[in-house]
Amino acid sequence: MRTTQCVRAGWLIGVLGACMIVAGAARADVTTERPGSILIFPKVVADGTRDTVIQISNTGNVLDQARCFYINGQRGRNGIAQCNETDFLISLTKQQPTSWLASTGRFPTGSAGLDPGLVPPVPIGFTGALVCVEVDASLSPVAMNALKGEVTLEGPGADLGKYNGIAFLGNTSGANNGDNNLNLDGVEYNACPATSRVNLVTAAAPDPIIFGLGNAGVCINNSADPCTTDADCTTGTCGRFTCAGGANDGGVCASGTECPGGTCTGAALASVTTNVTVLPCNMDMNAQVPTAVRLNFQGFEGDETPFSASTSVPISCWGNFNIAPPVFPVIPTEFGTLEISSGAGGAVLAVIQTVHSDSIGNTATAALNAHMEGQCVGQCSGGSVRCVSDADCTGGATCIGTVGRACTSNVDCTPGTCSGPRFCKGGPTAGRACTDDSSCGSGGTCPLPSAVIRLPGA
Amino acid sequence: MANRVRSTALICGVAVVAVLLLMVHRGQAQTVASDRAAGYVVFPKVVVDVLKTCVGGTNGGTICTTSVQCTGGGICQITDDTFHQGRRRDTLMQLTSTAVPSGTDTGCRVVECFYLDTTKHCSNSNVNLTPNGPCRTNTDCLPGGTCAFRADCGGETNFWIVLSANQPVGWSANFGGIIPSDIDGCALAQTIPAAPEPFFVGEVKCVEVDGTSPADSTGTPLLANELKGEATIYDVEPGSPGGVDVRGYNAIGVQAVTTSGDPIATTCVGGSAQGDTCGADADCPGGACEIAMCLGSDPDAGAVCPTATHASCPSTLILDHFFDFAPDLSPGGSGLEVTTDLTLVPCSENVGSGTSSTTAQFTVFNEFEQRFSASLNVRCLREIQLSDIDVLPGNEHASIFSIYVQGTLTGQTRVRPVIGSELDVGHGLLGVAEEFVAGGSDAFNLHYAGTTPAKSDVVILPAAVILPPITP
Repeated sequence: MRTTQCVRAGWLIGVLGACMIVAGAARADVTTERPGSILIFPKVVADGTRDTVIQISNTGNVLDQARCFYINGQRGRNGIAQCNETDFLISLTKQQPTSWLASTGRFPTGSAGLDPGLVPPVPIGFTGALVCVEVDASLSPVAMNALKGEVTLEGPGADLGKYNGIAFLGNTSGANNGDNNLNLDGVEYNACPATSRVNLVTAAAPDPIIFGLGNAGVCINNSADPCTTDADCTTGTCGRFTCAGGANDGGVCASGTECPGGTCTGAALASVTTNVTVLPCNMDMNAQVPTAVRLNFQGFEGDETPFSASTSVPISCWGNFNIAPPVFPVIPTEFGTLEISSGAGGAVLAVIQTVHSDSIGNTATAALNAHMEGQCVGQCSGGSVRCVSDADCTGGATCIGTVGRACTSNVDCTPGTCSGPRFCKGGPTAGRACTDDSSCGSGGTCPLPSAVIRLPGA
Repeated sequence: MANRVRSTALICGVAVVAVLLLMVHRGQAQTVASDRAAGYVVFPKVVVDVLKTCVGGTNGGTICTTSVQCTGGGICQITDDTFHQGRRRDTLMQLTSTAVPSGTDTGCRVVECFYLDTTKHCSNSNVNLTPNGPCRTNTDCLPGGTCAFRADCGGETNFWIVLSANQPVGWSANFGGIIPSDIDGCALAQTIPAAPEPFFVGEVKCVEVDGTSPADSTGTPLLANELKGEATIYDVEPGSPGGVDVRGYNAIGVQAVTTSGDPIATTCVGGSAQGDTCGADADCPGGACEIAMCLGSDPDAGAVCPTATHASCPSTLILDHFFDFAPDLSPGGSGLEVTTDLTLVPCSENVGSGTSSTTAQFTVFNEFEQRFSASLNVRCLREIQLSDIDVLPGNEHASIFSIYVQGTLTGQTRVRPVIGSELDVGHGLLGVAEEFVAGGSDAFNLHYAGTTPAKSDVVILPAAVILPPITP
């Protein structure tokens, strides 16, 4: 009998261990292409000329409920983002997709398919974000890791740009305490990325494809017809740039001849604008207090020459900016890359929208997810406890791993993990991004990464 | 005896945990992702569509590729698109190294890229009277001709570039590009060639390889994850009123299993030593010593990839979409319909020799939780409107991907490649989707679930040919 019990116990260890480990294996990095338990769309717009279509699916085989929150980043009369939230509940049966338009919401009548619940419209002029969190029947947060989604930014006109929602995987092996404080710490949910990276065509450079195939300029004659090359102009030349300085500052030019006193080195007529939307990972929807963050930029031109923003950009609650002067310097090469990180206020999420224009005002947009990079945290020797210094480890264990290194996955941090950014706690540089205690000055520490989404009570 | 049974059971239990721990460790270590840097990046859809003709001279209007073909002083230039659609098409690709100098590592990285040309061609001449000219369907060929992939899917055109730490580069598939010299002295200015055809449908794949320059690289991939990329497809109408439409997606990164920076081992492919590491063909009786990237591992005896060098391809691709012909929801889109195109490419690739065929199984869920299915054969590259997957052209409204059949606006489609039993090729798929509304479009990356179970995809790179540095 005891033998049988022991045999069962042995296999039970295996099975239970397997279950726990497989459950744990579901955890990975914050992602734009795998389902998760927190789904965030940093950019939702419904301002009269633009609107947003939201698609969310349950990729699991059981009912999945989500509390969703619109976060209004529209600036109030005082110039500060309102940052108020509007919440609603959706219920999706197994594998059920649903969709709605932000400006109209979704009502039970008039929409085909199983009713996921009433989705309210956003206020007129809304610019902000949408956050959806998996919850159980009592509306307590749970980790089922089954939500995925996309948004389509529509307009002006028929133009559209589409990006994937950013998913945070929740810990399915018991680390989720079900309270309304969602810890983005790498334990309860994925940590926020330390850095978002944006590749760009620089602001002053011509759009390389329109420049070669489309309306790159206008004829410098009385017709001002659109042209790609001089051959398209019956008389005169095809002006594809603008004058910088001089009497014809900003005027169309093909050469310095058109720019007395200036040069034909101004912005190209066929251009690309790269717009970045950022949303702080720390969100206090309970107290509705905007999170203020200060962004840091590290960029590289096409020849690897580094550049950075002239001033750090302060963001409150939700922010949006172009990678262009005056915040950014003129980048002399055609292509650039920009790393966006944050100092005080915690990490941010980012999405990109590019606007491509030809010389006569035709425009088109494309939306992209930013690439995300983490920061390594270590692991206590002889265990799996996360650490950033030996002080985090007990029993004489030491903190091992490439702590502080930029990473894209756990493999970069072996034996540690690739997690979010860390910020000084205490000391003279409190709130500043850090990689170790020594970078926080006397009395400061560089604790494990964390951000918190505080939900209002249900 | 009882003790022995107990011990065995306990050991087995612990062993299961241990094995799973190992599996988890390996499974978590790397991923296929379009939001992370990787050692091997895939641009699954790269397209060019322009038509060059002689302008001026004595043979104006004649299709040409260079001005040499234009007599009497004519110039060969882009005047149209191949099938007179009223728009010209090109793809802008951007690639960035995320390498950081460290110690003796300068951060310079050699990257080998491949245009994989999966353009279909007519068996006779196309409607522009170009012998074996490019085509989309049989109707682009003269009567009696058929439009098909070439036997090897079209072959590859490779090029090498050197990127310094954090260096961003970009190029047009139609025009190629020039990379400026970098301040670290990794390389002088370099050129990137254009796609091999003015009507081009294919992929671009780039991989971090060994060496400090193309001159000393053997073309062997490194175990590193330092590349990221984006592609933007343009439809451009010149003239007045003109037009611009763009759709962008992130390149799909396949991460190496470690970031040691070491080159992967070459592997015997074919013969009695298949799967063994090798230094030369002589080490592979009956086979060849190849540069083979293993996307996942295959435990079967004799498999090319007993161990993984890179992440396994996903077992399921997930696409959220509007059913074709669904009304555009936006107020400005009244009366407009939405359609979605899906492009699928194989994970396994014998670069230069083609790909195998894979069956993709589609499971479609509508908003009533109803389930439908369809299937599609994928070889080389398959670009298809969703409502053409299960019906013949002209019958799209009867497709299970049509709103007229489903009755709900949106659906969730899960694409599962059917895994085969071959030892030298896998059947994983990668893809990208494009959504179209009249006058506007955008592309987006698919979602993934799982990894190909106990099967590896194999990417065999062409034997290294040491090339001189390319300078403008």
